[in-house]
Formats: sequence, structure tokens, C-alpha cells
Amino acid sequence: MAHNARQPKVLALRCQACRSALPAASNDLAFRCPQCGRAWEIEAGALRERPSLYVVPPKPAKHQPLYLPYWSFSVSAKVDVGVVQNEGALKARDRAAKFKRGYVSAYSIFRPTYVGEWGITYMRLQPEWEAVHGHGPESPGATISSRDAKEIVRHYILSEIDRAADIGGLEYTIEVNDPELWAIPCYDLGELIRCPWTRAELPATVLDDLSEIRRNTEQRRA
Amino acid sequence: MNELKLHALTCPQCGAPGLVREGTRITDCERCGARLMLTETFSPKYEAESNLGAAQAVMAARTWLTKRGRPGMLGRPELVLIPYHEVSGRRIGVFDRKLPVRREVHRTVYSPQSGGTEVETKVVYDEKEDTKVMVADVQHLAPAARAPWELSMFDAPSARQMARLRTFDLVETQRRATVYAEEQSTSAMAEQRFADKGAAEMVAVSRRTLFFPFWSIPLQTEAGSYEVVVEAISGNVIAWRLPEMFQASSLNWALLAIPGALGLGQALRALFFDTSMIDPVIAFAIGAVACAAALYRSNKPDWFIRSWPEPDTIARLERHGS
Repeated sequence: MAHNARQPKVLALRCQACRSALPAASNDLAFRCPQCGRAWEIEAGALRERPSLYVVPPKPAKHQPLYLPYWSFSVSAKVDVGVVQNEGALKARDRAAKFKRGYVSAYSIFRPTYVGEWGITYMRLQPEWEAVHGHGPESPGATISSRDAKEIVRHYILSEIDRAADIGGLEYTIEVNDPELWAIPCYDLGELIRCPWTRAELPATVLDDLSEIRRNTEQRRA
Repeated sequence: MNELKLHALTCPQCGAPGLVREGTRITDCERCGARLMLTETFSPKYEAESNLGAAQAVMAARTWLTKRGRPGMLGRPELVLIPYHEVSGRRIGVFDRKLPVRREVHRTVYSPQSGGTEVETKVVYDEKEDTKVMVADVQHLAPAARAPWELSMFDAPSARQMARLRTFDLVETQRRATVYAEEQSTSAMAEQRFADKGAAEMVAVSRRTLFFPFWSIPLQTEAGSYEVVVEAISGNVIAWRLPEMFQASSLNWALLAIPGALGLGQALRALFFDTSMIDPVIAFAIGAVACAAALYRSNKPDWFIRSWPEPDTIARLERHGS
């Protein structure tokens, strides 16, 4: 047994508002307080508050909802088509104008763009969800930082515009606002996870912390 | 063998001292019960849950051996956990690139055969400037310890995709399995992998150590003790040590015995008749070595242990089995 004399930096995981313990898995960087619903992210060794919302699942809910964390950003994308307007540029302008909100899945998932990144799907769909502030369902923590998520969402928008017209020949502005931690429900079907809106499915094994999330959920219910 | 490393820490809430195992990121204060998180960069450890029990592993090994016609008595399986480093993230960036654009050029040429003109078509490729937006997953999995067997047949990414992960607890795990220690840090691996990737930026980088389970099953045969290794997630046999026939052994050693006999003959001839064609000392040395090798090999059982058969050996094993 070896003993390391150097002390690691330690943070007490307590909600700064209501003082209740924050649930956290080993990879988490941001958490949603189970008591008051506030979101906290670790930044420079301290907890910083982020706006926290949860999405009301569609009714009637066919299965037990499992809430997963997403970083959500209010976005504004504009493409200036200029004087010489071509079909591609007009399409890119319309596509960019469609994006009001960007999403990045914040749970730990195995190869997200390969197995299915629901964040980009939600960004394409721009769903009209009923998003509620405050105390609500419990959700696991986010495993990617809001700073990284902001960069990813910017590139998601760029790639969507690029699908309409080559962005190399376009004048565009993309504004990504402050991050919000959203808890978005999905259905836990055991072997699969299903999106209630798109009916897209993911194998349960690609969610790294799912067994830990399920165990914690069962403990809390008990 | 894995060593239990501990870090000392102080609870920021009540100031109580505590100890935390290396690889643990979240712990509870023993005095005040506060949940504590280590905020420094480190790689959390996970264990891939085994889908296969010991009995199922033995069954998989037995089926595999039966297919190859290798009789033997399978012993008690042992669970072995081998660490793998995983570095994953997303590579994002905007790149300028040149795309080839195909274009056909038509030209009217005089044809001496027909006496008239023909249209000749030539394909020309032009370059077109294009901007590419990249958002791609990056994932690297590499063994972090020297396993007792060759792991080249183990498909780690597939196993990773199929595996359910749980937080690794060294003390609990060592009660039921042999755990190999990591020999390289994940930070070192990440630096190697993402050192120079041009304009691409790596975000959401996650480093972790995954312990993959394997069942090592001893196999007792007439030729000795051997081993079959079953991967405990998919149930595939990924490594084995089996007795194997040495190809054309009799002929090889008979050929070696000929120069031995000739060499000894030359030496004896020189000794008794003083009429040798080559130096009798060299002839004796060659003869002695060749005869000794042939005698040594002839007294060995006609089995040759290959710790890792070549791919073509698998077919050979199947032929022998049938």
C-alpha cells in the first residue's frame, strides 16, 4: 500500500443555495440539485451556478421517463447573402435563421456522432418544448463542460449551414449565448433508450454511467 | 500486481482528514458525511461488467475445443481484469480544402483512317476551393498493461460498445479477480494521440481507465497443462496455449543426422587411416553438434508448444482436429 503525501484539491458537493448534497458520478462536471433544481458547474475549482430547466415529457407518458442532461444555448445565426444571390446561399440563410436554440448532449456517451447525437437532432427540429425552471425531476450530471459544449454547438450550426452552401463563400455571424443545463426526458426501456419525440433509439450500453444512474434512481425511490 | 495507492485529503467542510484511493473521484467525509469531489485532472477507473459467468466461460471454451477436436480437462476458471486506457473526445474545426471537379473537354481531330474528323473526349480534373466543417468523434483504446497473453485478437472497441460500465473498486475487485496494474498514465497517452493534429481542436476530452474482464481457463491434456482465454463480454476465445504438432519433425531431424554421421565418419577416418579430406577437428565438431541435436530432439515428445499460433495455424489445427 503506497501513500501519496501530496493532497489533491477537494470540493464539497453541496448546493450553494439549499445546502443539499449534489448527486454526482465519477465523470461529472455539472450537477442539478435534487432539492431545489438549481444547476452547478465546476469551474476553476469552484461551483458556479448555471440556469437550470427541465422539459415536461409528452403526455401520456408510455414508459418511465429517464432525464438526461443537455447543454442548451440560445443562438442566433445570420447569413448575409449579399447582392449576388444564388440558390445555395438563400437556402443557407433560411437554414441559419431557423436556429433559435442549440443543444449538446452532456451525458457520457460512447462515440456520440456515430451512435446518434440527439443534441444535433433537437437542434435541427427546434422543438416547441415546455421548459420549466426550478424544482423538478432528478437528472444525472453533465460530463462535458459548458465551454466545450459552446464550441461544439457553434460547429453544429456551421456544419448545418455548410450542408446548404459552402461556408467558405458566405458572410455569416453566429452568436451563442450563455449555457443552460436542461434535463430532457427519454424512455428507459431496459436494453434501449428511446426519445419520446423522434422515437430514435440508443442501445443502453452506449451510455457510460447508465448503470450508476439507474442504481441512484432506485436508491432515491426506495 | 496492482498496488493500492492512497491520497490524503482534508474535508473542506469540517476539516477532518481522510484518505482516498487513487482513481476514486468522489468520496464521502467520514466525519460530517459531506460528498467530496477531487477536482484535479485525473482519469476515473471503470470496470466493464462481465456478461459471462464462470460456468458459461467454461462452456464457451469447451465448445471451442470440441470444434477443433482437442480433448482435455478444463480446470477452474480465473477472472482476470486487464486495464485499457481510453481517451475520447470530439475533434472540431473548419478547414479549407481542394475538391476535384470532373470536366470533359471535347476536341475535333482529323482521323486518317476514315479521312474525316472525329470528336475526341478527354476528362480533366479541376480543383475547387471548399470549406469543410468538422465535428468528429475521437476514441483511442490501448492496453495499459502487459497481459500474460497476446491481446491482438481482442476487439476492444466492440467490447467497449457492448460493455456496461461501473465504477472500479480495487479492494472489492481483488476479492474475486486478478487485477493487472496500469503501466502508463492516460495523460501520457492523450498527449501522444492528440499532439499534432493541425487546425483541429479537441474538446470534451475524457480520459479514463477501463478494466476488461477475461476468463483464464486451465486445460490439462496428455501433453501437459495449457490455457484457454475467454473474453467475458462477448464470450469469444481470444487467446490460447495448446499443444501443437511440429510439422515434418522426423524428416528435419533425419536430415540433420546425415551431416552428423558424415562429420563423425570423417573424424574417425582421420584418426585411424590419416586420410581425411577436411580438418578432422572441424569434422568432429560438426558431427558432434548435429548428432547431439538429433538425439536431443528424438527424445522429446512430438509436441511443440506455440504460445500464439499464427493465423494459418488455426486452419492447421482444424485439419488435425477433423
